[in-house]
Amino acid sequence: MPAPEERGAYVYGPGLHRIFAAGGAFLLATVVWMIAQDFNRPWKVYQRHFRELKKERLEKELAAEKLRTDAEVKRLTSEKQTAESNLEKQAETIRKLEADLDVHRRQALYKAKQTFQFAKAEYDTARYFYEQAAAQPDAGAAGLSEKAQMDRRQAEMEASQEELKKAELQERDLKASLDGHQEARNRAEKNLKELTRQAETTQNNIAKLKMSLANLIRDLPMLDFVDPNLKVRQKVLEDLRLDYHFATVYTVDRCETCHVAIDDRDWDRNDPRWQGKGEQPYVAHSRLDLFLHAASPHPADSFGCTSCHMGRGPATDFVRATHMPDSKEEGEEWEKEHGWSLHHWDIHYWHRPMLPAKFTQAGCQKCHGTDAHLPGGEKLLRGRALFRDFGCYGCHKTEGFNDAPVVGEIPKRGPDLMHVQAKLKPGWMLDWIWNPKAFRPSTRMPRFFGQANNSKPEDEARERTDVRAIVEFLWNKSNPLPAYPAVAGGDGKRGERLVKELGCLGCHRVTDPPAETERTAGKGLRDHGPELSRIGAKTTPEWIAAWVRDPRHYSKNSRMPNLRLTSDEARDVAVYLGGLVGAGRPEESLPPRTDAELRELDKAVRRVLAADQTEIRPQARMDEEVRTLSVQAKVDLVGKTAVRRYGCAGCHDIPGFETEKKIGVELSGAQPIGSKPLDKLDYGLIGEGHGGEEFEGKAGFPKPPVPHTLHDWIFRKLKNPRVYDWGKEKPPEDRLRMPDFEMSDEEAECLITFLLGLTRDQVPAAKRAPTSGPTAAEQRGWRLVQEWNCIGCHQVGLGAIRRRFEDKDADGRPRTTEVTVKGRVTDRDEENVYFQLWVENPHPSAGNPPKKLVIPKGDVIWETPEVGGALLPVLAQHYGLPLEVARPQAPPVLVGEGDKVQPKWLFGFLKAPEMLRPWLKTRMPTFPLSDDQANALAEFFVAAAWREGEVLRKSQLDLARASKAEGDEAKKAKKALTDRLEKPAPYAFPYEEIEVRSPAYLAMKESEFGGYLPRARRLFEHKDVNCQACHVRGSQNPAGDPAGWAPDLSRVPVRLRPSWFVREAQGHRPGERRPAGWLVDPQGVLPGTKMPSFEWSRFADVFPGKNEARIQALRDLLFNPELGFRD
Amino acid sequence: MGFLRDLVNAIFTGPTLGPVLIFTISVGGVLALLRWYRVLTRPKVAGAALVAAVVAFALSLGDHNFRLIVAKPDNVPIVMLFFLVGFFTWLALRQAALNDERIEQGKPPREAEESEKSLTWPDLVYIEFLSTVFVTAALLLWSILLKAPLEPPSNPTETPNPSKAPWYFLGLQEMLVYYDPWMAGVVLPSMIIVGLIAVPFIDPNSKGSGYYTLKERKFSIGMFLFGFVSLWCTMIILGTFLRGPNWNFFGPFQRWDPHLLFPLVNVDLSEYVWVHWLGVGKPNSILLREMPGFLAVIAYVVLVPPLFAKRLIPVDIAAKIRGSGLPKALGEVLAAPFAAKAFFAEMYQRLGFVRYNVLMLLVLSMMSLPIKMVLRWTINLKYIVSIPEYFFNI
Repeated sequence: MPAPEERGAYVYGPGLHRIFAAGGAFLLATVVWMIAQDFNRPWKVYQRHFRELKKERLEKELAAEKLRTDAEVKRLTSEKQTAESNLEKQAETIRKLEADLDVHRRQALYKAKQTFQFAKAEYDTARYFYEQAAAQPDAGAAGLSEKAQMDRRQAEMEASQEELKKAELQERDLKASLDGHQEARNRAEKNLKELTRQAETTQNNIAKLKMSLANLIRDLPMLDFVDPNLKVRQKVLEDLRLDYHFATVYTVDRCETCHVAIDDRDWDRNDPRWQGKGEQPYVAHSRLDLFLHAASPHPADSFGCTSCHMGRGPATDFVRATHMPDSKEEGEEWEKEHGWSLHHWDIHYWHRPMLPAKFTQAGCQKCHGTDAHLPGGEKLLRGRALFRDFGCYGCHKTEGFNDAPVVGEIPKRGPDLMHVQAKLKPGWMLDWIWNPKAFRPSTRMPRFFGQANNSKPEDEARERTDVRAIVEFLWNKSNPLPAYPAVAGGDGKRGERLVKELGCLGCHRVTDPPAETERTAGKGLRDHGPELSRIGAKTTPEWIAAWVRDPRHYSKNSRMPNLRLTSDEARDVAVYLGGLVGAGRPEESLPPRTDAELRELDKAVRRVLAADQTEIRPQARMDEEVRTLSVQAKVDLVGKTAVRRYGCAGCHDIPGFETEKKIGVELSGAQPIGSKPLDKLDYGLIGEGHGGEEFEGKAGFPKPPVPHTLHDWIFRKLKNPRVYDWGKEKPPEDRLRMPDFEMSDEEAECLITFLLGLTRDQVPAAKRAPTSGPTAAEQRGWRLVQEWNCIGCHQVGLGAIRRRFEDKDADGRPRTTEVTVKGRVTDRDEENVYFQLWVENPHPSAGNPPKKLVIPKGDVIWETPEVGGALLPVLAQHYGLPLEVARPQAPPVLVGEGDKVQPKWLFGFLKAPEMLRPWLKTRMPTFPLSDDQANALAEFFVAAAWREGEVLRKSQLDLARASKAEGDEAKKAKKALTDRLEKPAPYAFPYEEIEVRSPAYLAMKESEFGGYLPRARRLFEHKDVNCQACHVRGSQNPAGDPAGWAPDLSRVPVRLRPSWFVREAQGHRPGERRPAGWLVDPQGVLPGTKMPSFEWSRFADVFPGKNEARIQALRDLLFNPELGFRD
Repeated sequence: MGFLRDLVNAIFTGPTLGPVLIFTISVGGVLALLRWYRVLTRPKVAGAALVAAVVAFALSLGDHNFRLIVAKPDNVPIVMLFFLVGFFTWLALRQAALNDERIEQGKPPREAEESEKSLTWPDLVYIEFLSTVFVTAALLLWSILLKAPLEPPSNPTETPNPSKAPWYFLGLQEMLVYYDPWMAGVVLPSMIIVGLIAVPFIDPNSKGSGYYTLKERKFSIGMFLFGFVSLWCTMIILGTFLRGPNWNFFGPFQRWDPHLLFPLVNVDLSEYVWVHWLGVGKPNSILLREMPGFLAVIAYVVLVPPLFAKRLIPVDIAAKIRGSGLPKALGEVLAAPFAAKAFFAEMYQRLGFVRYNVLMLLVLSMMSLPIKMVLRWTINLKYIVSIPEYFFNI
């Protein structure tokens, strides 16, 4: 056998060694590459960079701190040096003392300690033996000897303890005399330490971040599995589960691995220290007051990130987390920066991609699906309101719409068509259905006809035939009503004044139609009812007169309330509105059909018959049928088919269509739209549009590129509902038929936000918004308030501003903090927002009402507008008054109404309004509320006021807890304050005790003051108080013009709550109490009211005691009129 | 380039032409290799083929759709399979070509000249260790460059389109296009396993043991190459790269459009016989209805082996045709079946009754797949025997 070296290339030998060397190098290179890949994982890079940022910031802080304490440190250091140099002089004494102390500690003290410990051990043992012996049943003499032993040991122990005490005393003396010499130095040292404590802490923190040897080793490649500084951080949420079809799994969110400062207020994006350069992943969440922060309603430990934002929680990499860009441009930027691509399989295959930032509020829907008032969720709410107002649920079954009777949503969004003959004319209907916006640009009725997928010439003829058939079908099926009496002799001028003053304009626009660009759908307020600028061209004055007197004679489900008009008033209104014709009246009746139109009708009939599956019709039979049918029968056939096909009955009541099914795809249920897999969406022939090309196809409309995301698909669908028919050859009856709402991009965006929120995600009840109790009652009320448009006339909610402001922390150092102030923006200019406070706020230094704040624009973090009160500017304009002056002429503000009135009274008032303010021309209408609805509305005000109080209490509690109390007195006060604030306020619904009317209460007051109510009455009638100078009381009216009158005082006992007149409130300093309430400070309760404030201390001679006593007496008088005004 | 791409796409689109072309190329390739292996395996020729394949592949990578499919991390191993199968086929045939030449010259094969013994250490262990090093490094590199292709959580209500078997089962899945699951999923795979077990007992040819040769084992190697390369590997490659949504056949540069439609007009044999040819409608009796199919199947399995085994006419028809003065190519084609028959008759003599019949059963089973394919492509035949009442179809 030849030697190995001689056996060719593939056998053991130098050739193979070379290959081995190359292989080794190759393996080494790949291993190094692998380690480098791991070392440079993006999240590690982020965390490393963040450590640098943190270090820099701390270093700056340290420098500032040093600068601040510099002078003081110098002084203390020199003090210390002086003391030390003094010590030098007594060095000999001190050295001796120290030596003595040391010797004593090591010798006498040590020995005494040990002797005592040994003696104690002996005693413990002896005691044990004695106990054992004594416990024996035959314990006799043995027990006695054990006892003696124990006693001896005890004596020994006590003796040694005495010795120890002596030694300890001696040590203390020595130490004291040493300290006496060193006192000056020690004090200086202690002060110095105190002063530099902050700097030292910072220094330590910096050290932790520095690249020390220990830190280096901890984060070294291959060693960083032991205890690295850089590590994956995660939240595991066991109750928020992801549905993986066969199993549900915990939500695991590792987002904070990269978003390192997401819950840290110090790293706010707007923090000046960023100098405008702060951005993710190094900055905090933009709404820490709502999210992530432990004190917020959604702490990170219970909600995580992906439960709202969606996306892939366990991912630790930008692409895998499925970030979604807001725009194409942002996507391109990400592609450069992170290699992001929509086609990346990590994104393509993930079933719940992250919501793009602009749709983030969709995440609120799954828990707040029925909430109608959600500060911070405005886009979602607007989307939901649009969904409701556009009547989307008429075609698409959707949970949460029209399935909660107490909310009183109307089942069909469009007007009732059961009696169209009584209201409309066929000529008008024809034009209207063809293109509603041509007649009234602001209408929400969408356009079905003349759309992109029916844009060929033959399509128009076919669609016109359908429209005419629909009109005739509706007309023929209309149920007749008794004829209306003629409207003659009405006064249009008076009618106009009525329309403008009664409050019609709270829901309708009449002479000020919204501009084309101003889209108002879904905002409620003055677009709640149809715009009336051309109402005269649509219907007759006779119908208007009958309608305004009683809308329910025509439409049983209408939301239009009854304004209790007299027949004269109704006639005047009808004459005025009937005269509003605008750009002319359309033809009243339909022209006879031309031959061509008749042929089209026949074609339509053939199509209907051909689609009829119940019968087989060969050509001859079809011809026969078409020939024998009357035109009327043909119209009915075609009209009925078209009404059914376009789903008209989804929004309108139509005779014969009472039980019609919805024609669209369900948007909730087992496969809700927000969880729909992309392959379940019909893109038709529109691909993803790689090149983003847009070109005209044979379909006659441009093919837009539609990126492969759910939101892009919906966006295209909403902007052009027929778009996915692009390029398709379909018979007319198979074509897409969703109508065009001519939505703006902004409206589509809001709607998409809502639609994306309809997901399959399951959230446990404990984490969802509550469905019972005050919070749920408030939300139910908000839905009613919107549905009945209370906000058209009344202001119901306050505006709020989250602002930064300077105050002091517990240690008295200045700091920047945040507070939410509530009230009304009165004005704004380049630099400031002028803000009228309405509600006390927890930070006393941020002010109490009626204080007016001037907030620099830079301090505003976010802002929410007030809710309601749209009528006020309209009335102000009508009366020619400035806004603030016109306020008493407008319907009252209902903010805090729950604190003010008794719910029982409110219930009655809602069912049957009574006159409260004789000077007010605007009239509270009678709404067709059920008992449940009236009850829910009454509770709404109580719940809203209660919650407002609770919010205040909780923030006060937080502040009180954080406050620093030094000394027993202060600690006791703090304890009392927190104890008081820990108790939630009672929730007074539906019943509450009016204590001030109880005989026991009055007897107590009587015993305190003697002649209580008569004295109160003297105050009531005092010339400087004289309530009845303005207020009505029962049948007694004040002198002068009714425009200057004030509400009836005789209604107080049934209407108002005693606490509204006077109550205790927080003072202007922490923990301070002060009286507040209507009689104390009317401006504080209702800024801008014309009720005067009184200097109650002036009336001490009329009624004795403190101011509160006088006010209480007045209140009690008003609550007990049958006793107080008995003469 | 664009023209070429469109041309390829146009040829491949559709349920028939594409598969026909692929299988023709594959079968033709194997036949050509068997016929001209000495020329084709020369390093220059094989090298040129490799270069051509690499160039074509590289050029194709410029196409978005091609890249989308080929570069999918899942499919990368199949690309490797394409080149590896080619390489090992070449390696074996090249050795065989060299040996066959030597045998013709009366020399022993190359293997005979080498020592039969070699040392475990260092010869074997060293090389094994080297392989370990290279494979480890390659796996590391692979895992760095191509991340694991995770797909979405499986969902019983959502069938992926196309839904593909794991790559090693794509051959079976392709068979499902032509056969009932019962045949394609149970009978044929069992036959493959049983057949592979039976091979040593059927083959009495002692030649080619311990050395590479093609000449001395043409039938066995030919059968193997046909079954493994032409059927199995080709179907895996075809199933991976060319079968798209709805299991439609796509050109290599074509977008996988899920809306692409082809008419489904396949017809059972019974329909051809009763409805189309006899014009009487299918009989109600299942037995009678499927009689033509049964007869065809029985004839295939029972009649073909004896037909091939016996020399019915004592004349060498193939030789006569070849010698009849026809053009050479035509003569070869016409003579082939008779030559094959003569070959089998000779084999019957060599193997004896039992081995011959077992072999024929296996070969016929294997050939049933291409036969069924051809029937599908030419006359849209769905099933030969179709008894959906009892879930029995052939």
